[in-house]
Amino acid sequence: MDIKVSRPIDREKWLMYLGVKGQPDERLSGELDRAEKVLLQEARIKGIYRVLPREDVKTSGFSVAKHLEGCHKVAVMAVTLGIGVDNLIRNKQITDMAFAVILDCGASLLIESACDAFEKEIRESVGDFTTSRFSPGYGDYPLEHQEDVLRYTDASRKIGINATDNCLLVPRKSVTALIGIADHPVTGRLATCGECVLREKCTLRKEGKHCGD
Amino acid sequence: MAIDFKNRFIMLDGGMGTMLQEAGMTPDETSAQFGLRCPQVLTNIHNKYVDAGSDILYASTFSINGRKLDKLGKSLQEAVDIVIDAALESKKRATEKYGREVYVALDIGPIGELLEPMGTLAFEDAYETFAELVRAAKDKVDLVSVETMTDLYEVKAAVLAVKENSDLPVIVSMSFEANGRTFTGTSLEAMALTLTGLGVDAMGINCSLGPEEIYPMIMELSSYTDIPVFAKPNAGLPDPNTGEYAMNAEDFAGQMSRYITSGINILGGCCGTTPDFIAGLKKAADENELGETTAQVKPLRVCSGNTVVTVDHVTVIGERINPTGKKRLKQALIDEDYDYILSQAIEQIDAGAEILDVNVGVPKLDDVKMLPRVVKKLQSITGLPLQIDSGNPEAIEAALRVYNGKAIVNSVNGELKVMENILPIVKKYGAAVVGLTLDENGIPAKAEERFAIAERILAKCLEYGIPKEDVIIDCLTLTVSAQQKEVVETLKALRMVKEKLGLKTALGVSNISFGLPVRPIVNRTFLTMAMECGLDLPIINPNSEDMMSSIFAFHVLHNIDENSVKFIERYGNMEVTGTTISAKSSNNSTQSTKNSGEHDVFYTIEKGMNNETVAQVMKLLETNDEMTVVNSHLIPALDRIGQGFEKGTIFLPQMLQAAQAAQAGFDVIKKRLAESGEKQVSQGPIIIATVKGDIHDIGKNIVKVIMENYGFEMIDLGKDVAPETILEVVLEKDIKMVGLSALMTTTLKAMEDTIKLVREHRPDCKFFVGGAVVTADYAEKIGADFYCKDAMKSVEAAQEVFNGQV
Repeated sequence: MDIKVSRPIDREKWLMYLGVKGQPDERLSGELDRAEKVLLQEARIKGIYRVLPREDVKTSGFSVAKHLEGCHKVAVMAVTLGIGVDNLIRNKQITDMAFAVILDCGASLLIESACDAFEKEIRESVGDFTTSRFSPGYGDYPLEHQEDVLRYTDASRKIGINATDNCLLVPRKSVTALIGIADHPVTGRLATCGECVLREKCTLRKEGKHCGD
Repeated sequence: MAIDFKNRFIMLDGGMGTMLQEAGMTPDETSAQFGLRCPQVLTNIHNKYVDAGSDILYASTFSINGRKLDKLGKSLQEAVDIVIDAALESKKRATEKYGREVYVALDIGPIGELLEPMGTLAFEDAYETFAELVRAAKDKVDLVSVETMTDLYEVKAAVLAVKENSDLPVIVSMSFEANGRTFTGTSLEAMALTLTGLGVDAMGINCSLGPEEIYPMIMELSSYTDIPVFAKPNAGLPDPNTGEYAMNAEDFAGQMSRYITSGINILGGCCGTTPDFIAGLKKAADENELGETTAQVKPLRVCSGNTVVTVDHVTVIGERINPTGKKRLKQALIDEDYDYILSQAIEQIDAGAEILDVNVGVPKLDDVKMLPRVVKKLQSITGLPLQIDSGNPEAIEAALRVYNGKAIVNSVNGELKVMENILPIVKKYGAAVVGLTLDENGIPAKAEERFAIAERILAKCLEYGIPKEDVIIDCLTLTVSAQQKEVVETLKALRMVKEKLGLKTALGVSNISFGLPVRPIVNRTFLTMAMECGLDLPIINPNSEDMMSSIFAFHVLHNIDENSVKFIERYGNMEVTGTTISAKSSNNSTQSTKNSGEHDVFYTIEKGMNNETVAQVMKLLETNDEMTVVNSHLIPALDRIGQGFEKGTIFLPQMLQAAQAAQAGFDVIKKRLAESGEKQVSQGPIIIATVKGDIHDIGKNIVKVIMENYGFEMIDLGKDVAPETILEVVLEKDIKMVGLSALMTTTLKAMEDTIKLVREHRPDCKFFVGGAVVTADYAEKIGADFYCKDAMKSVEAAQEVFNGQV
């Protein structure tokens, strides 16, 4: 189904992603305005989900099992900005690399807010207690499960998400995730650095930060 | 026995997925896995559809292909045999039980990986995947159905695979969203044009929507083509929460009756439909009289995968991607500098070209290899249809093959051998074709003789089955300073072709004025005369606003641009300045820089001002040679930006804007050097690539842009690049330095493999690596020479390797 994102793209985070410290100059602000406009114009934000019994959702790894502990059902979700955004970013890289980078960061933020909006809708419609979302590739939940998640949701036919043979999603700005559903309050649990496959390479961790922050 | 798709009602089958789930398929199985486990279930389902009245059964091969075999535990041939035999059982039963001929289709679904440029699957690999499937099934099935497709390019690969590997009929259906486009942007019209050209036996719409939503689309589709159209809608729209389809068989049949009375003679169902739906549909078919569809006669139309251009107005073909007389472009083609070639395309698109001519004719350059490459690159960044410009049949075929949509071939002429070589290719790929009114005896002087050649070309095209509306005639512009008398003959011939043959006409315009002063005036006047004689497709430089404005004005004066909407949109905020023709300026650059203000090149680069930087560079070139401008102005300006970036006073967007401005300055210098034939200023070359399995390329592209700025010639091999490909180029071009990018922990291994493979053959090749998951420790571990955390570090690494400076 179509997903509406009500809030504009978060400027503060956008600048942070771009590595800009302090206030943006007039030109950059203008570029962000222009980028937001074309992104919203080109994005066709769609989502699909399916609620399955926990035992029907194949997972592996410690972190996701922990996250879904106590849940008897799982909402499997997939969200995409559509291929138009990929095309836009690819084109801009030929003529205006600076703008392409701005678009790319903006699109990453836009897919996150689309996920938030969709997650909210799912929560409201399933009624029960739910965890936050947990995606393949996070913690030690392998990316190889993208294929399963796409199959559970029929996301390829329903909203046009495909995986490459290395399990990367196309359109690039797409997200899949699991949300645990329980009949009692659950919080889920973010992966800890100890069990994360990125622990040796994570730049956040070196700075003493955590990706859940 | 051949299947008659045209003159009878054909009942297709209904959904498979729902039936399989009911029969016990688990969420963790694909339909292919389940079908192979329980082939009898497949036969039972097919039988139910036969009982309900289906004439064609889709064997459950939808998700079987050579790229997904690891999950099936069988060879492709084994898997195909089991699943098709299950359908053949049912076919046999139909003959025995009902004495009815039922046909079995090899069912081809999407491969599941998107093709380039959206995904990573090469067109050729998609073709091969389909081809092996067709070869495995062709002796058993009666036809092939390509269905639920969303990418016209993938469809083309499948249709070619069927046609080139079997004699089977092929029907194609794609899935559309409510806005009339597929997920990848294909429109109904682009689908109709392309598939009509490729000569499929029927085309249609399946899945995604219900009968109500698909009805207007199917009627639209049928208006675009003479080929039979068909529909396999879902049972309405699914409930967003449960995913279940709400519509019942009776409602479905009720809605589908409209299709029958409107003349859609091939029908079935998709997701959510069952044998009950097909039985109801069969009843509706028996009770309602089959209507007739009529395709509207349309003028020439060409398309890309998502844009259709209808030539019902003067349609500009951009001529700039043609190296004749353009040294910079010629150099770019030799160096495979695609960014420059693509920038030429984008410039023309922005200027208002509707079709782009593509010519890669450089002596000694292999156009059979190069033309398809440039076509692929162009269609990765533009939706404009292309005109394939070559006289080499092999190059034309190679380009048409990888072209997504319906192209124009430029050109054939009246020479029989030329037509016999090229027209079969035009027909096979469903292109339009330009015919030049010349033959082995040259260009005739008289209009009547040129007209006679045009007639001959048309007759030959019709003989090969190329429809009349796809034939375009170019009556050839001669240079007025050399053959003044014959200019009117061109115009006269053009008018005759237009009026007597009713064909579309093309003409390269700017040749007219060679050797004359104030050429733009001559060109524009000739263009206007030609348009009045009926010119449809001027092949011009759209960056010339003189020419474009004449065309826009022509549309106003001929009441084509109603209420002058487009004219006002383009020129509403403009005024004409300097219409006077003035005495020649002895120095062009003085004129163009005189308004450039007093900012120096440091300032214009730092502020990312492209035009001003160009003006400053031109001003500097008045008193300095090229290398001085580079070494004393451009590079120091970049260094200052780089230092700012390191210190954190300049941020990534500004650094990139500055790089772009500097690049605009470098382009001026490159152009000057190309024209004077002097050696280029670059160092390198250096390969840069995102490793196998990874498709993150924006970081790699940032590094490329910055390094190019510092004068390094970058060979960008793109993303998802296999170690073997990198080795091949290292050996071929004797590369000293390679940059690799990886963004995923899963693809780091590919980085290591690449370094290892190249070092086996070139132990002294230097590697610099980067990307979010790469660390200095890791870089050292896998034998990279430099870990570069950002673009500036990459520049420093390259300077160390090539200049010994740090």
